[in-house]
Amino acid sequence: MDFQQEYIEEAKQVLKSLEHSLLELEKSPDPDQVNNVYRYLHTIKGSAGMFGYDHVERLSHELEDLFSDVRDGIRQQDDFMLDLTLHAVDILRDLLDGKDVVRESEKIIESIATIKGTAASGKGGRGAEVVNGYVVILRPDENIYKRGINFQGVLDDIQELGVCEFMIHNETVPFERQLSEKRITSWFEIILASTKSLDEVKEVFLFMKEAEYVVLAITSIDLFSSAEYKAFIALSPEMIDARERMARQLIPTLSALAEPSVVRDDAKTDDAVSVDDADEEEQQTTTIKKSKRGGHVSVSTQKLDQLINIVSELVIFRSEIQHLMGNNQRPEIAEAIEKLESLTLKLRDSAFNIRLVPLNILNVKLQRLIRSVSKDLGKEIEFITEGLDTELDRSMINALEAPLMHIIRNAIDHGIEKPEERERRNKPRKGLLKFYSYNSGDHVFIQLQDDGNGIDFDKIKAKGIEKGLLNKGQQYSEKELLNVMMSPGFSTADKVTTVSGRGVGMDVVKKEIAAIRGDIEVSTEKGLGSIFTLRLPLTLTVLDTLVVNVNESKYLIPISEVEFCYQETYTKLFAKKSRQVNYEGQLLPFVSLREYFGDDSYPAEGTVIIINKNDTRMAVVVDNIVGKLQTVYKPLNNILQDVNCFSGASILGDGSMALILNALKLNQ
Amino acid sequence: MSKSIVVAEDFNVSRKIIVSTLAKEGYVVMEASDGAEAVNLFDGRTIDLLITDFNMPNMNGAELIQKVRAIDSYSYLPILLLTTEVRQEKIQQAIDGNITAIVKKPFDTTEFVKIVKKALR
Amino acid sequence: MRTQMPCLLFSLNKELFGIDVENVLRVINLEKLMKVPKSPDFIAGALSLEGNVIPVVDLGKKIELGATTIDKRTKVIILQVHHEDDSIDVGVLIDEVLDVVTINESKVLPPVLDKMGFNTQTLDGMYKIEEDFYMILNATKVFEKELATLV
Repeated sequence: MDFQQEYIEEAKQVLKSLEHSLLELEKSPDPDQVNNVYRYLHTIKGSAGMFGYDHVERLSHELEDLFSDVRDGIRQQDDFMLDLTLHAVDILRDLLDGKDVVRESEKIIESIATIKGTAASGKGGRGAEVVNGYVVILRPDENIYKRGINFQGVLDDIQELGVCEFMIHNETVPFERQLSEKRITSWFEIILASTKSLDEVKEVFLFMKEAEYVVLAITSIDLFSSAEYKAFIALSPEMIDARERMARQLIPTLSALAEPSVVRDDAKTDDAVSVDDADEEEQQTTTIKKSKRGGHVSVSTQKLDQLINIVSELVIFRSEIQHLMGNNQRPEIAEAIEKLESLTLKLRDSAFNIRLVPLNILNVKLQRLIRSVSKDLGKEIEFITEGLDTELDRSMINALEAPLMHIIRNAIDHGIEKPEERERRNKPRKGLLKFYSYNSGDHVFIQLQDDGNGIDFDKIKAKGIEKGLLNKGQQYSEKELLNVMMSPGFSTADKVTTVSGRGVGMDVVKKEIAAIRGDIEVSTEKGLGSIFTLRLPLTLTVLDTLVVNVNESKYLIPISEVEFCYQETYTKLFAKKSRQVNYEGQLLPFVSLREYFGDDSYPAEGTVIIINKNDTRMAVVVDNIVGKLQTVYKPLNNILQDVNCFSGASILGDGSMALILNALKLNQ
Repeated sequence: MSKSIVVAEDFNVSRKIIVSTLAKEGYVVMEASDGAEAVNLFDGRTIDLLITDFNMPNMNGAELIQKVRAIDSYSYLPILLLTTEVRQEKIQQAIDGNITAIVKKPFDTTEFVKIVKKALR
Repeated sequence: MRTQMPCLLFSLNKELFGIDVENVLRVINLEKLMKVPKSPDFIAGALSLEGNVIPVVDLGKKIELGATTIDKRTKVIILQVHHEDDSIDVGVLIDEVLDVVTINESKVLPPVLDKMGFNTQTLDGMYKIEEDFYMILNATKVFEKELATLV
């Protein structure tokens, strides 16, 4: 099923390009973009049939038709058409994901029919007795019988599917003899007319390898002359003719399908691809031969995760070897282990690098969101991006999507004023929304800035009091008020709008960012706008940690949070009732992990670790420091999510596990 | 005539599920809890399908398949290999070209019956 | 709906239980259990399985049957519990795996609601095999509270 996975990945890439072109088209009509849209739809349609995505095929076919009219000047593009197509892109994506959105897809097809001014014809209805045409190309391994597969049985099964025409290629040994000797040297081309679906046809080849068979749906008689078909079998014009005749005979609907619009498609567009898209196009149509180009390879996230897991295990395994060797190692072995270490680390770094993806992949989604939200709210927005080439771990980008969208929604809904209001305030009609991203050390920063009204602290205070989160008559700093804004159940919208209502507030954003070990900060100026700053670790997975010991158990503290360590007697630490240490002339609260975890015995001396995270300082007291360790971060499962004094866990060199301390949560 | 199937699987839980599923379909099922036990069943009698686990004590799946394939009357016997996903590539390399299909564990029993039927055609 | 359900039978605190095989990823011996301070009472700790951190639940405590005594024979069933599109993996402590049987769902008797000495809300029902009654656990119901917090 790997082919299928590859198809899905690539079809999604094409959908992204399609989406982009549609957004461009919306800004201004452009024949080149219309052409692109048409071509993308065609690409999606073309391979959908091959992989059994019938609904994808139908929907993209209808859309393709629509845009071919636009291209040919028969029809003018309009907002409704673009909206519908953008919506269809989402549905196509869902279809590819196997979601049950067939009804939605049918609705779109109906709408397209309305646009075209033709009522839905019966042609599209998939009655039970529709005869479909397929081409099967079988290239069985010579020794297929040795795998315990009865090839004769496979052929029998094909015959049972319907009416078919067998063509045997490379019959140097009579086929009958090949069968009796159980050694197949020929290969086969079969034209099949069957009422079965593509998936049902494919089921016959359950045990055959992907390289051994291909099933193509005949959606147009031009299949035999297409580049796609040429990739499998090179045919002379006479041979093409013969096949077309056979197919027409077996599949009566084919002549009806061969509308003039289809004729020009396949041969032409496959060659007339613009240079930058050539790679994509080639991957789409090539199923047997691999892409010859260097350039990019799309890899499924699953495969990547697998690679990362193996590499992570390797890192652990290396520490394990070192651990097992102990002190009595010979110099040569020590040297070999050192080499292994440097190679493992290099391998790990390259593996992690593969996972890094530019933020750019979120761009289209954000643009669409801004477009639809501003439309809904009657606001005008100019969206400026900078640093979209900043790279982040793929899983992190996935996790960022929802919170970013929420912040943007909020900015448009609550921040940026209506055009008239802005004019009254001597601001440009269009509100400015700026997305800015950059790398700094181990972190990536993302800033979202708007030139709207800023956060109204009086409003927050009033709301906070109303919700019982704040006391009336007490003075609060702006920082405190912002904290309240990000606490659960707080929403400042005057009325619940569909845009930012839904009971989700900034607290959720904060939680989602924290889940990927990031932080969020807000700065705002009344009347001038706000800046949301997200600070994120570069990757989710590698972490430099300090290994500490507390009552025979090991815990990890991220080194980036450790400012200073020193030893202190417990007598001195516990001398006063308040748990505070004096560090650099400043009183810092401390937490003794023994005390916190409910132990009541203490050693004479403990180690005080000064934690500094985002300029918040505190101290943690442990028994002693064991060492430093670079580890692979593992998230804690939901069942442990309430235990928020730990942010995750790691596996140590000896195979045991240790929890990663989330020091700032100890105080709460 | 109902077809005969040999099921070699050391983990009782899995074997019981497989055997009861196949028996319900009307097949004659012979059980073995390791490769060595299974290989003894291939004494020339008619067997239509071998379903074996990869990891087994005494004799693992790969060895079993090799031994069975070496016997003339079973050189074209359909063989389904059961395995957990993790080691699939490794297994594939070891016995590719010798077996009919790899069936990932855990599997859905309806799906499994379908596969068995196909293997027996 | 299925009528036949393959079911893993096991014992815990002298009681007999069954659980749908569909939820069972595997059964392992309990080794290297990591303590998790400040965790809810029913969490026995966590273990690492193929590079992932899996919480281990004291099933006895979770269903209010009483704490499980951990000894050399203690086993862990690794369950996959589904919730909408998501699923979580969790280990539960048990005493012994007894068998795997196919049970007929129509013959699952409703749980006796009171005086069973534990939280019967977590059961699908009771099932009688020969002379013994097995309590058929519903993994989703056992972890209902925890699943509800999934985002």
